[in-house]
Amino acid sequence: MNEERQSNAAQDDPRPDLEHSDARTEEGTQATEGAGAGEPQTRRLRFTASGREYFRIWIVNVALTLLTLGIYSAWAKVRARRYLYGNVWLGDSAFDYTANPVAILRGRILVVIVLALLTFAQFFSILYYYAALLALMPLVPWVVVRARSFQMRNSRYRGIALDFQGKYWDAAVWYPLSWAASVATLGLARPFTVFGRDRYLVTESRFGNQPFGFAGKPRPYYGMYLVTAVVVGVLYIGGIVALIVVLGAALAATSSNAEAAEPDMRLLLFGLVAIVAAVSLFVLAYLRTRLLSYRWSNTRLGDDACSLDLSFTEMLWLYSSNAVLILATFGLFIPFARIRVLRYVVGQFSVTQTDAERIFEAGESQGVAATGAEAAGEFGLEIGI
Amino acid sequence: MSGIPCRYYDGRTSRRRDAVLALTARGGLVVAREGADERLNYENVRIPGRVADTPRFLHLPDGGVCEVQDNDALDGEQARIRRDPEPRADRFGRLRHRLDSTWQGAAAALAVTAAILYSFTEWGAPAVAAVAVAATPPEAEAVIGENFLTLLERLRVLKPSELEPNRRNELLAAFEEMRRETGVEDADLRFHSVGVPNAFALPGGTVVLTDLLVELAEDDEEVIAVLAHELGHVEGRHVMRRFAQTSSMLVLWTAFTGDVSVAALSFLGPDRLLAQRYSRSFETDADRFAFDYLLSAGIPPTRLSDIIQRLSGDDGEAGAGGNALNWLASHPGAAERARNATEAAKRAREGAAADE
Repeated sequence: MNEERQSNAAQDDPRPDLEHSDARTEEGTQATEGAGAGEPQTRRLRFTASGREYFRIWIVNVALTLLTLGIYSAWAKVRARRYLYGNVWLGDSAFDYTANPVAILRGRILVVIVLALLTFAQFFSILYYYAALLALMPLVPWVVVRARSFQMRNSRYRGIALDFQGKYWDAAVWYPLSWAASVATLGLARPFTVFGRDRYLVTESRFGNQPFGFAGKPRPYYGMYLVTAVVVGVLYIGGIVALIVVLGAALAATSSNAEAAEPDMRLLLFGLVAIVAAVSLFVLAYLRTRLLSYRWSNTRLGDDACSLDLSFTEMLWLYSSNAVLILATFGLFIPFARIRVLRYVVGQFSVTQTDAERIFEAGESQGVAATGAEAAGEFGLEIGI
Repeated sequence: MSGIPCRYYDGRTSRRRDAVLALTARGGLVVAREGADERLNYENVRIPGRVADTPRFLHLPDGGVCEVQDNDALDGEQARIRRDPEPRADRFGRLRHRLDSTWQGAAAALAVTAAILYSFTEWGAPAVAAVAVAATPPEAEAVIGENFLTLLERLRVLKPSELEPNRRNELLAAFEEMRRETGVEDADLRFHSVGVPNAFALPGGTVVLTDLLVELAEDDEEVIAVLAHELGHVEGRHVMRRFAQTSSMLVLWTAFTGDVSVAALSFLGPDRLLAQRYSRSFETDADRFAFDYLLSAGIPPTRLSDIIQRLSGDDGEAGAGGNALNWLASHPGAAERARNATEAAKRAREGAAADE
């Protein structure tokens, strides 16, 4: 990482001869043997953030958020994002996060109001609660589209914004209707709906006026979900059998009077928590890793191909060690944990470009007039996709 | 012209041009693109606050972008042309950078965070919970308790009691007398059979007593002692308060960690410890309530600690190390409760002696 920092610094030098600066081979570029101008080049993303820097930003954000009863959280989010984006490099340019904190605050206030109403409904009757939940369903696709486009439009690289132009009805198909389909088919449709959702999210995205393309197929999704289902099943059954054996041994060891009942309950509870933790850790490390890798490795931008190669064992190690350290430090390890995961994931991302000097054009939505006018009435909705 | 080297993008294409920018005394900015002999002049371009040493992107009014990597040079230029009074956004930006780029700033933030988390845990959450519970109508609470009881019965966790009706009526009469004496209004006693000796209070004032506990008790005094403890929970509406406290703590942890999923993780750790602490303070309150009643009824408070000791199989002091374990326990240690009971009995004797 130090090396990379130095090379960034070296590029800061003002250069008298600037005619050919774009054509220079940059660090992080693995030019293929005898690469000419038109030969494909593979470049890795670089991540130069440090856990210590991010910890300081995070703890100041937390303190200011608590002091302002949560209002600062929107500014905190923008600052943390700016730090992370500014440390992701492709070639010798970093990413730029441009969201307006006031828009994010508006979005968060909206979410808090909706949640408060839901809680309020719950007090009267659980029936009202479900009715309210059902009434909110038509809003889901709208939120998905708004959140996605807010995130993309506020991400820039070399002065060009990303964009998302997904339509409401497609979002309705790939979110609420897909959930219903997954439930109705007892999960059999789930891999297909995840495929459809990925394709929707990728193909409706753009960098400037260049749409992204998706080369993924449904079949690999079925493979991933099959492996997940089998392993989760084995973990559950194996865990419960192990628990019964241990409990039986413990019961045999102590006299089975009433006083022994309580320690046994604790052992049972501990065993159940351990099984659930193992299952969630596996799903997180395996399914997420495979889904992310597959989605990105099948994403193209014109003739440029992306690739993300995450290893399950590496992610398992990162997630499990992070969980232990976060618990042991009462949460203070959170920022370090986030940087550890991002450093690995970003570092595994590469782009193969047929023409490294290709010039991208801005999309229509990136007009000068649009920025100010739209920001005024904008809701910065965020959801984890 | 001396200036800060930067990269210039016109905002229409991703073409990068190296350029030099200079700030003017009137708060404007000049970008001279090298190669193309061209100068662009702007009025009042806002310079974003510095975030660590990440490149700063100056968004120009015509859609162009200037990417500056030499943060120190830009800070120097900004200081050189600083207006008086400095625009609020700029001052705020500098303050934020000062706070989160130094360990002193981070230490101050950590101290503030710790102080807020501690005060909220110690006073905030219990106060919020007390207000929330006071605002909850008793009828609503009763419905919650009733639903929960029905659920437990339906799941066959609670089976019908096999106690003799006579025995039940004796205990019901004792409970009724206790309720009248202590002035607790909405409280009722139910008998059930569960695999373990236990007694617990539900929202709305229902106290459930299990058959095995009645069998475990040496005499009625011990059963009454346990019931008095549970009535203490009813009187303090502890179940609802505990629920409200835990919920408000989850909100706080979400704000702290900035993420619901991480907050859920901390729910297993630090937050559990806090919830257990709340729970113990409720147990101590309920014990105190029970001691008062037992003394007034002429029953030694130690009868409560006797049966609790037999229930938990805990036979005394865990030593000095017991304090560390206490953090994890949802109930005060049996030894601690026995000590409290003895002290309550002693205080009562002294009080009686003073009266004479």
